[in-house]
Amino acid sequence: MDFNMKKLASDAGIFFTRAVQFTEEKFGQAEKTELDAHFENLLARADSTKNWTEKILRQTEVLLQPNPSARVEEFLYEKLDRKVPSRVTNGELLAQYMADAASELGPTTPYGKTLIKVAEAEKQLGAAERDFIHTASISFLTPLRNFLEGDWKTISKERRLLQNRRLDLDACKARLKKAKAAEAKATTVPDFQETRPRNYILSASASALWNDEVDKAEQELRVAQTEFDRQAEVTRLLLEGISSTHVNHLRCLHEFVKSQTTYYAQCYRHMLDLQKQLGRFPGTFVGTTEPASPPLSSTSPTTAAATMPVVPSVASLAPPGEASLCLEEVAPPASGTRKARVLYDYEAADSSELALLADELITVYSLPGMDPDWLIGERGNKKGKVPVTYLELLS
Amino acid sequence: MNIMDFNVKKLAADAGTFLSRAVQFTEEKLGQAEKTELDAHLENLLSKAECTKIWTEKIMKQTEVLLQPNPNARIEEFVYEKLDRKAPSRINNPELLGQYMIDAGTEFGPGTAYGNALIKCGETQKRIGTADRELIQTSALNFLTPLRNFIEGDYKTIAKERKLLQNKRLDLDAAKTRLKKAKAAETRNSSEQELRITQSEFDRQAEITRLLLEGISSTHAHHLRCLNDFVEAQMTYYAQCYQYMLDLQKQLGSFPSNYLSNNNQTSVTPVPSVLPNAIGSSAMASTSGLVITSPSNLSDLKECSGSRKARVLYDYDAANSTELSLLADEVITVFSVVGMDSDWLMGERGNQKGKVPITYLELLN
Repeated sequence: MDFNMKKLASDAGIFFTRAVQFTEEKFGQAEKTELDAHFENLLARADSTKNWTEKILRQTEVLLQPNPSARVEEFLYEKLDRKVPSRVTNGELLAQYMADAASELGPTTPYGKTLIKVAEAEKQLGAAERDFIHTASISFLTPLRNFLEGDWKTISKERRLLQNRRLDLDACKARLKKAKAAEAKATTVPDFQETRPRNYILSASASALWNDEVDKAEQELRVAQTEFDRQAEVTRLLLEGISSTHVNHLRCLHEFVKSQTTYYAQCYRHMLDLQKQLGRFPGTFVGTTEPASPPLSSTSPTTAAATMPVVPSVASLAPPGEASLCLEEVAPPASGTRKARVLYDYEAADSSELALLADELITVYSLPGMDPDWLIGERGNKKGKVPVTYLELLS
Repeated sequence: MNIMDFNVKKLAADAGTFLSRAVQFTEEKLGQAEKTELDAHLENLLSKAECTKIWTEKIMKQTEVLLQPNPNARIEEFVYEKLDRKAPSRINNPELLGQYMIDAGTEFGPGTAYGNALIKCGETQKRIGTADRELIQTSALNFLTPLRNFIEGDYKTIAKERKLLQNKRLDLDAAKTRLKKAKAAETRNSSEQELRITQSEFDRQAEITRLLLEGISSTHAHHLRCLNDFVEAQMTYYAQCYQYMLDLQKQLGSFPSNYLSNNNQTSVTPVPSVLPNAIGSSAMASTSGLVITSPSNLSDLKECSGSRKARVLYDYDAANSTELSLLADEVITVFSVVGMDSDWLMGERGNQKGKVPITYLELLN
């Protein structure tokens, strides 16, 4: 009981002393030991590193998981020390819906077939995204978090200790100054009272008393200064470790860049595979269609075929001028029509459309002003609109 | 008075029609009345349309989630759309991360290795953010909007016509029931005439509905094209991002995995030859007269351990006495020590020696 009481009183005294010192500093009534410039610089650098590391960490988390509800859920699991159930990514869910839609709408229809292929690609994209999130978390987010929760906490603790040591040091300095002032005041008294023998004895005693007080204060100051210097050194060493922290974070940043590159490389490859499977290049088709000149609607393959046999005989007899004229007449229809292979069955929705069977060949051409999703198709004497997406253009 | 009379008549007629339909519907449910079955083809078309609507909706919703995973942002966009106001273009997540990285790099010092790398990464993240925004806009325009138009336009029309068809069928069946119950010849004639009228209306409505439903084929063709556009947009996005990442890796000028494998290779090779040299060195050390050969042995030892030249990329202040301070653009000799952290090498400049971080160096020869 006695021991605890003593310790409690001692701690209360220390706390009170620090509070007094702090207050007097704020009012400008006490001197404050300034840290050297290099040290201040290290402190600022550490603060800067901590702030920006935290911002980058948070925003990378948002980048990897944009849904705040999911982030809260993961945070709770982490705090409960339970393993987070691997969630289905948005891409994987979309893939599932597309696959199910294809099953219901008919796997053999063109829309159904394409949905299945796209679903497969989306699933792979979703898996790549999950891998990216996992790798980025381990190699980038975890080290940053470890710094904030480990090294930085240690630095903060040591800084607080340093602050306390400095307050103790300055309190001792203040106490020493007061003791010296009192001693100086005590030594002036004997001169005034020297003529009286009784007072001389008293003044000598007072002087000795204050002298002891000064010695004690000086000793306390030396102890406080030693502790302060040691704490400053410890803190400085920790702060200088920030350089190593930067090196470590730089390496983590490289890892993050590498995993992100891997992610996009995988996605790019999946999309290339998908485009090959879909077997069409819309950009190429649009480019090819543009230069073609539309033929007259009355032109037919039969007419073109009928014209062809006449050309050789006429060319051999007629002058060059007439031969050139004949070629010009033939050119327009040839440049507009082309062969196309049908990829999927298609049932005409109305009389203006042409029904199609998979794998057959038809002749197609475009008309000005017509919907770009459609072409005019001909099979024998039948003619009608056909959807572009059902065709594979040849020649 | 005439106006009032007319309105009352119309109201009574409507009420009668409604009641008649309700009675017919109820009797069908209780199995007391016959129901005209739609032909198989029409039933099939109806089922197909229903199926198309359901799955189109699911795919559309999930694509929206894929493009914008944050539900708060989606709600905000929805509200703006309903208010017919243009949504303010928000900074997306990669762009914000890019901004933070650039600001952090600027504050850490663009001349430092970490600061420099952060700024480059930040710029790349911003470009990825731009590509991401373009993907969202293109996909919304070419894929989501057509799907939404189908659900809110074509399908609503189909649903309306289906409802009318249902009503016409109830009228037809009610007329049939009434005809069956008719006793008097006069009532019978009236019922027969009514039946012909309702049959005619039903047939016309069935035809209209069938034509609309057959349009689903065109819808599928259109959606197929939209799906291809979506694939193309995604293709463009990933190609761009992949290119950005390749550019970034070139700028960072570092290939950690390559170096690590190289490091492992060089550290394994000299192990067998180290022992003979050590023995030779200790043997010669005992003979003070052979001082001349010591430098050559030391040189051999260095070569065995794999020392090489490296150029310093950035300034580095040593954090403690075991490290070597570096100045940008100077050339030093470096070698690896067995058991040391793979992020560090031993560096030498003249008679100074200390640890140096790999990421600050560009290895030569």
